Amino acid sequence: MNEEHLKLSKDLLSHGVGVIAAAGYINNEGGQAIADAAMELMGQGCGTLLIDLEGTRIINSIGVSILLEIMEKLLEERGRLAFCNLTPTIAKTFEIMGLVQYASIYPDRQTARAELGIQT
Amino acid sequence: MALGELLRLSEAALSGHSSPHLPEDVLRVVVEETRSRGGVLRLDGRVLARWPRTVSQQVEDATEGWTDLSFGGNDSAWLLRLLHLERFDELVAAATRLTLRVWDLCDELKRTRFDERFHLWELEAIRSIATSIGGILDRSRVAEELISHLVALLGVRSAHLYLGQEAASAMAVAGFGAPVLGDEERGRIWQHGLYSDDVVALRLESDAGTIGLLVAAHKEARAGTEPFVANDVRLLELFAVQVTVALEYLRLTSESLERERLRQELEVAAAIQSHLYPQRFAEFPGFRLAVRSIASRHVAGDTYDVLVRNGFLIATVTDVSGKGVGAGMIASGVHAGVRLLADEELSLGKLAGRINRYLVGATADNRFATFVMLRMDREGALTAVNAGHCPLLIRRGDGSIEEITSGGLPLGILRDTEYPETSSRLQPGDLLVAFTDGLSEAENPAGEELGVERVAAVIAGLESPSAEAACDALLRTVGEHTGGQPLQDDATLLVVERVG
Repeated sequence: MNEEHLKLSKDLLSHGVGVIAAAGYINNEGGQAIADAAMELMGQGCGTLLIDLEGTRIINSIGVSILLEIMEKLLEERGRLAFCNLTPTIAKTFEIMGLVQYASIYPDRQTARAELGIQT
Repeated sequence: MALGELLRLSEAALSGHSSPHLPEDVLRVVVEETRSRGGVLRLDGRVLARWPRTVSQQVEDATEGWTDLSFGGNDSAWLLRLLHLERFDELVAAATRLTLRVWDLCDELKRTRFDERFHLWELEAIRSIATSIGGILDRSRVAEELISHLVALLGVRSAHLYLGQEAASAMAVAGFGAPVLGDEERGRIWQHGLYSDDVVALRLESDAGTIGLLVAAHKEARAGTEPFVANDVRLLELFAVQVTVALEYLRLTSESLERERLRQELEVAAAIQSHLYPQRFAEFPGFRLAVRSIASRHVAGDTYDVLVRNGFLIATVTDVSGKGVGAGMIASGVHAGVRLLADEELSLGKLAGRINRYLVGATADNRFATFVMLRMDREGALTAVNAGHCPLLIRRGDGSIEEITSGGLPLGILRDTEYPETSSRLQPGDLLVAFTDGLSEAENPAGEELGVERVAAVIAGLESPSAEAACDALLRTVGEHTGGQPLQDDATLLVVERVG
């Protein structure tokens, strides 16, 4: 395994839709990197945030708590949070930890873009 | 105005999605409402908010005129400090307390819910170890799955699994992050494991003994790392048990599959061997043949063959030392040798000599084969070679028994052994009986062998002598002698009857 460090990219699309692609271990450092990217996108007007976790196999409890904080922040701003490309293990984790109650889960980015109305 | 704003903040707190700055918002409303110069809000001694934000600790310490309002609730101690307050309406004070307690309760509820869900996650992770590795028979893949679960569950930066019965021979089969223990350190802790603030290493113990070491290191906190606590060790111990069970399951499943594969291969080998036997005997007018062959394992070390070449009936019975596949392969080699050489104008003695030389060079030192071969014309004139085998028995029509005993060493022992031929003749009504020692050495429950004499006596005592009758009578006698127990060795019986 060589996935200790998170690789991250972010993009602000039209209509206030932001996409963060994160691959690697979502721990305190990885989670914070995602949170920083999310705050930056929200500061630029992002109201709908899609986090693509293709390439992420492991997330620990601190990573989950940071994602919950991002979700709360978005809800506070009346925004939306969505995830795509979750491994079955991570999908189960999100279900148990309550993320799926307020965030949408899509199988892949194409489906997510279609469902969220993201223009290509 | 202030009441309305405090109620709005209460509602926000109740929604569960209030801003983390809510205590500051409350303090700001109170400071403005009371026309104070500043305020500080503490919970259990911890500063939650300062308003304005410029009211630092130094400012707080250096100024006088603070009014302290303490209130409890939820096992917490609140302290609201206001600097030079001008007025304080009791209704606003009540709303302030209510809002802050609601916020605190909701926050605590959120933490409790997170902890509760995290425990569910722990259980799910432990459960999913079994399901996620189900069907995976690649040990390294299983190990990686296990390490992934461990990293997620414990929130560690490093986790490694070493498998082996001893430290010196243990191999790292999966890992995440940088290893924290070198070879020497692993050797030192192999017997007792390691429990420290930063590293926990647990031995994996199965019924067969130590099978490996599970190492986890550097447990993460929100900022940096924190020491492992008793609950982490308990969780890791639970995990180690799961890992051990998973690996033992994998080992047992692999062994079971390997056994099944070997069984299938043995069945294939047995099927191949069964096709080497004559499916039906070649026509040889004036003679009838009968055979019985019992393998003590899937593949027999006994073999027999009957063929007709150049007007002669050729019959062989071979018994290779040992049992199972190895013996069966040598028996098949002898079988093939006879078939290939039978067409050549060779005496039986020379034919046996050639097969012997082949076996001497092609088999291990402890492998040999006893062998009996006969060649007979249509008038019953026969020549026979007996290489270390049980005697060939000839039952005459009057019930008397003649023996053709061994005239040479078994095949495969000495390269230059000579095999003398014995000549005789089968008269109409005579039987010729060839058998392996699995028959004559069949033991009764007391460990007594049936013996060649008993075999001869059964043949001699046949009331209606025929090839089939001889086979049936001998097998019946063997069954009675052994008490119906399976034979310990392969047994083969070939009878040639010259029809009267």
